[in-house]
Amino acid sequence: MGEAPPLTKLYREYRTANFQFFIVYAREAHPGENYPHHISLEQKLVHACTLRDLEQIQEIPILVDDFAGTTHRAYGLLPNMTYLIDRDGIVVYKSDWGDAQELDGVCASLARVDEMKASRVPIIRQGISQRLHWIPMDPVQRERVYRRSGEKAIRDYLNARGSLPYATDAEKAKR
Amino acid sequence: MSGYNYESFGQCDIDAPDFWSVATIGTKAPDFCLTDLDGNLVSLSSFAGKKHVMLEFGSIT
Repeated sequence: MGEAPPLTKLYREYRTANFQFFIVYAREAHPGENYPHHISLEQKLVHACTLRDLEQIQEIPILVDDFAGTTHRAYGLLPNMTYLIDRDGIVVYKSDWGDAQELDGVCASLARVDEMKASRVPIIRQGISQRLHWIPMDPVQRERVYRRSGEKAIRDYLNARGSLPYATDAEKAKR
Repeated sequence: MSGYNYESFGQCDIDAPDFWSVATIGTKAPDFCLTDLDGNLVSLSSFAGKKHVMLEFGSIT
């Protein structure tokens, strides 16, 4: 997942405007020696508690998907996706990679609609906007996550992608 | 083991085209009923008419 502090900051801001945030614990994206792939629901529950402790997620409740990933599949299977669902149950925002700054904007927009409705401001139409977004690579965060998972996770990434998203120890030593 | 709970990142279907064809903007979000870390069951539908819900998917790694 993305980093917890920016999400927590947003949650503090919007929970009073009737927003409920959840983190949905899915499958391990980069399984390694320390945090291997799930082999049982019990293990998955333990991992979810570990995520809470490692990232110090105290305010946003964590929901644990079932072993088969039913909810993860229903929402599109990506590792870091974000959804905003309005109180009518309609998807108003989806992103293939969490971006707290962008989420702030869409939460503010939804909160503004509530205010408009409350003060009976007429709404011309419900429109749709689309955009591309660019998620900056954060080598420190990437290295922290892969190292935490273990050497296997690093090797698997290297095999799959051809290079690591951060400088290796050997590369750092040359600098 | 491959499949949903893949053992190695290389087996991941990260480029699966599903994301933009499911739970699309403007449609009803798929309901779920999941347990939180205190063992409570939480369903999306229980927030209907009450709260906006943000979901962030993730894992330790």
